[in-house]
Amino acid sequence: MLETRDLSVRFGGHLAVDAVSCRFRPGELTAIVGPNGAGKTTCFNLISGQVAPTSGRVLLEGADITRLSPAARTRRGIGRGFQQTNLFPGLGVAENIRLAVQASRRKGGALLRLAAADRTTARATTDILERVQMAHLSKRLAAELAHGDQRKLEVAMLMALEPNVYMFDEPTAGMSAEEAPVVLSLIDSLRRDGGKCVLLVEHKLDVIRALADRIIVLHNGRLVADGAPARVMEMDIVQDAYLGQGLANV
Amino acid sequence: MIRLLSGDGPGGRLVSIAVLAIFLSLAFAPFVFEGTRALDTAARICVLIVLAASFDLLLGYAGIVSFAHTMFFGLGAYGVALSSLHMGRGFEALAAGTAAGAGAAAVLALVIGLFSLRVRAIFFAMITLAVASAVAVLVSQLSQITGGEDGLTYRIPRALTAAADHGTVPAFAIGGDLVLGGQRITGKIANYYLVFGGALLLFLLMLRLVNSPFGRVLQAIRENDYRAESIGYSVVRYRIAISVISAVIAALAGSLFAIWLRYVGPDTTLSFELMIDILLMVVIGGMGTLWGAVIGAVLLVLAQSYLRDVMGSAAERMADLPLLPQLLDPDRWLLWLGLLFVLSVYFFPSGIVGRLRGRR
Repeated sequence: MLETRDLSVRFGGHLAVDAVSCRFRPGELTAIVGPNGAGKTTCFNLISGQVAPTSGRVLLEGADITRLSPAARTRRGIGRGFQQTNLFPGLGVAENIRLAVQASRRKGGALLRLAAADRTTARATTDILERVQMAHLSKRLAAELAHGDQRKLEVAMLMALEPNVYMFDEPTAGMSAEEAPVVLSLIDSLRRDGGKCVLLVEHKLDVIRALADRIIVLHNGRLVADGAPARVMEMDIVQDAYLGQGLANV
Repeated sequence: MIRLLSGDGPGGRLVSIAVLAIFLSLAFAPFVFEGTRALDTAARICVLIVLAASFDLLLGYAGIVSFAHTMFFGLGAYGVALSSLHMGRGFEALAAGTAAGAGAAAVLALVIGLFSLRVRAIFFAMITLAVASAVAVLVSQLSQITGGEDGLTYRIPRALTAAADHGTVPAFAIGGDLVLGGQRITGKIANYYLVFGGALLLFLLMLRLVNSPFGRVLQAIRENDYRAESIGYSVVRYRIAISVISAVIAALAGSLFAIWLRYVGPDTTLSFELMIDILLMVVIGGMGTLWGAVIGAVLLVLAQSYLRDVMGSAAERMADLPLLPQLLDPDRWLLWLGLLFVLSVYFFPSGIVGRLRGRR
């Protein structure tokens, strides 16, 4: 279980995240919503370790991980995806995934073995390529992929890490209508079949409705609402602060 | 064969042919080329291939810029020189000097890495520049120990000098008057094969390294260090590890060079010109592939050794024409070398190997 306690970070005079306390349980998909600049991505950065908090703590399975590096947190089971496409552009698609598989199996320290000779890593890589339906692209460079495929590769790398906590930051942004469902059903299966804890920053209301077990609303860095989707979406503060007219149109 | 090359062939027919030609020339250099100068050039090429390739581990694979590579090279060379001077000539002195040089390089690289790579990779470049300059000044000032600007000359085991005789190569008559073999194997030739064998071993080791899981992580870090960290690789540790490994290999190359030359001095091992040469070898040959270091080192050493001769004879032939003889005067060789560099970087931005592989 992942937990934040009074998590805050200040950038100069701006309090970007303000005393956020929250628990995330296995098998639960939590959508984090809020207007632009509400602190969603910063909150993600605090949990995955890219940004150090000014105060507050992050706990994983009861252990304090606030001071650990991003790499150390990943090794403990937090898998973080990024809003901007964040790949190894000059390497092949399969190699991008293989590196993630290799990382999760702690095999990066082998100096004199041949990477190509590692059959189990290769098999796991092929397996993931097939699950995300990208086997036909395995030899292409990540930089050459269409945007939607790059987003899919991003998700695939996250799956390759086999984390206990998945953090997706707008995973379907920029994807076509045909591509998005593939990724969304993958995310759904992680939670449903894998019993994983999933955190999802998302703007699309239909996606939130379809997937979320729970919604957290951030506004100006503060947690203003937390609960079941149906209940949260009706709350006045959510209507005013974020969803506003948007909700009325849906 | 492919196993030996770690499954990472030169790639592309032209590069493969060039690499094979280089390998055969170096392997049979004492018997194919005549004269000590040719053998000296061949030994220099062997050493510089290793030095350039070990620099490519940093620059091309890990994306780290270092200016201290010749310093580590010098540590290995001075290690052999000092041990040979103080322990007396002998293979024990060579082994001890090589080990001490490599050990010192490892410790120094580790300290530099711990201080600078934790912050930012660019900081590493500045620190290495400062430390390398400081060491160069120290070596020229501490003349009681290092021989100062004059350097050190010392004696190596007799078995590795021209005076030693290790028998002759068995001769084969191929038919008619053509006879292969029959040359006397002097200690000098044995010494060459020590350099060649050592360089080959180190090169194959590096080839293995860059194709290992570790080597793949280095490339990932070069491509996107932020993402490499976020999928669970401790970027700092990998960067420090490769800078230590690269420093040790540079020191070992320095030891080989010292055994070959029987002389060390600031100019041959520590100079900034040498640093620039290595940088050029890697850039011209092609960054991020060890084969590029091979091609780059060969081209640069050959150009430096023979461009003046070629220009001299060209100038003589064109003595009757206006202007051209002056331009081709052997004293202008640096100008032409510079021009060749500019052109090669302009036309092969990804290096010669990168360009030829791309066309595959």
